[in-house]
Amino acid sequence: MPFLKPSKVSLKRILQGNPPKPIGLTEYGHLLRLVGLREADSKEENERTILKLNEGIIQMHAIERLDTSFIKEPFRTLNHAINAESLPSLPDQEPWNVFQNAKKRDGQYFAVYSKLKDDSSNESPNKQ
Amino acid sequence: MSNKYNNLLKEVAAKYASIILNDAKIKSLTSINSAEYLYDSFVEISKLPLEKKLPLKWKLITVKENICTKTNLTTAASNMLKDYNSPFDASIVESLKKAGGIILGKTNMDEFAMGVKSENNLFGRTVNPVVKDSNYDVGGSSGGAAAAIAADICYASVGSDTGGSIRLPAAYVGCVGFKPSFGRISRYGMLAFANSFDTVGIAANNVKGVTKVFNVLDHPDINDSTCLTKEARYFVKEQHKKLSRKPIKIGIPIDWNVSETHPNVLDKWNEFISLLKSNGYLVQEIQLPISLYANSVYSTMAYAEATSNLAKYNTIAFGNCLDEKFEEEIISSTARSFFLGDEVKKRLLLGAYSLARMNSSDLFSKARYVRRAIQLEFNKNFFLPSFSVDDPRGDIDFIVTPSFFNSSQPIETPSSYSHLSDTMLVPANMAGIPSVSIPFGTLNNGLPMGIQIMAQYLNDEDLLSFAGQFA
Repeated sequence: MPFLKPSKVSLKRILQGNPPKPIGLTEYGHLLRLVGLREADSKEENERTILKLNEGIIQMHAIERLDTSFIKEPFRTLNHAINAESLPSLPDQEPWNVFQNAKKRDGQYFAVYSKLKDDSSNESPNKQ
Repeated sequence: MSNKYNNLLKEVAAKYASIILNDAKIKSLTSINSAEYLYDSFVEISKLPLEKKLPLKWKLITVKENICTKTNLTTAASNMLKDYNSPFDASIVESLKKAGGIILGKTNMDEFAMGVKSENNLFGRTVNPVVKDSNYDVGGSSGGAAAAIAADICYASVGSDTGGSIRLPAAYVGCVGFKPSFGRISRYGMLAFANSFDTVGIAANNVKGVTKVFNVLDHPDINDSTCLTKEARYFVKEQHKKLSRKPIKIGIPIDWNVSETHPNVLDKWNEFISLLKSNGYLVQEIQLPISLYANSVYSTMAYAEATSNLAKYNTIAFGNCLDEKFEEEIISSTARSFFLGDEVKKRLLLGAYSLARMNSSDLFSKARYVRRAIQLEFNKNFFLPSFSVDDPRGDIDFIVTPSFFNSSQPIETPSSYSHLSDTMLVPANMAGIPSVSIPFGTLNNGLPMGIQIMAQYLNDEDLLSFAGQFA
């Protein structure tokens, strides 16, 4: 008994999906401008190209029939294995803690600000 | 000493003549280095210390026309780049040379690796060397690479594989074609087609040859930010050791058995399954239904990436140009229309359609989610984790399918399935997993049969080891 028997399921039919609205001369001209190409010299050649494009577009739209509601995030290009290495990074700085975080640094600007603040706090309440 | 080099000279001359003769009809090569270059390379390598490790010592290697070499033009088989002299060697070319390999020349391909015919306006069409008295299809886009192997022109051939480009031709001509995991081999110096799909491909007569070349190329590269780091490689290797197990389990995606599969192909697929069982492997059915839509995802995403990548060939910074003086915009569009072939133009237009404002939020975005679903689909079946995403795991070590629906066909034969010819191979590019096509006898028409074996992402070594038992 063979493991697999001839199938009656047609891949071509699966990939046809719901045919979208075909593109015409106007859309074709727009696509040409987007990719920096010119129309062919003959009308027949342009029509052949449009026909091929519409065939490809039908294949592209086949994915619309798929239910992907269970997918939380789209595909991301593979580059590094998770947990393989960790890079050193600075702790997060939230906007509302910017002055608190600044005290951890010795930047000139913030140092001046701190100095001004200290001077202001040392003023006598009876100075006026 | 003199006799030694005289003998070497004779061997080089004889080999060179054989190469020229074998390639005359099939047109697998686009350029070939001179006999003097080959002789000098042989002599130079022979003078190296014996203790120096040269795993590819004196092996003739060919490189696909879209991979940069200093000694040969790198045209990507396009009139747009027909006079392009690369100022550097691709990282993989450097690695091959350091390993003792000798670059024989460049192999033919579809223009910018777009197509399944290995045909272009610059160099013509490569034909299948297996069929002697007729012109049969060699597949694409790395048809020249596979044909060169089948014609005994070189030891191994390095190409690219974006959607089955190395594996389909290998299957058609009866040699081994291997696509490694995405990120295993540097792509620095390989002209980009679709960045999230492109991988280096390797073809050779057997898995041993592929493995030898793979081991030479499998290393980090500072020039390629997508190339796996040393630390990541070490981590994955250690994890694979811990998770190693027996017996090996093979998955057969029963929903990939569609009516387009030729009866002879189905018979050979069953024959291979029987061989697996007789060798003690556990075979079980699995389901990969969403992966059948891989071609649709490929059309949507790869063409979009290609549209972006080829935008730089505008005759201003890159690309050939016309002699007439025109305004900048006219020069660009006229030259692009003149120098790019019809297949490339079609794909660029489809890519623009995919990215157009009216479609990108629906079509291109949908494709990204479907691609993620395909990745999840594979991960849920494989026993090993992918180490890239945290997905549930299954119980399968390898997946086995045919490499094609039907064998190589006469070039003149019109086919309504040409756009589906790589359907079995594209899903591996979707998920970034390693895939190899190995020859498995012949069909009733006498042409080679190809069997595809896939493994989990980054499990390339085990895949090659397993495939080596059959080819």
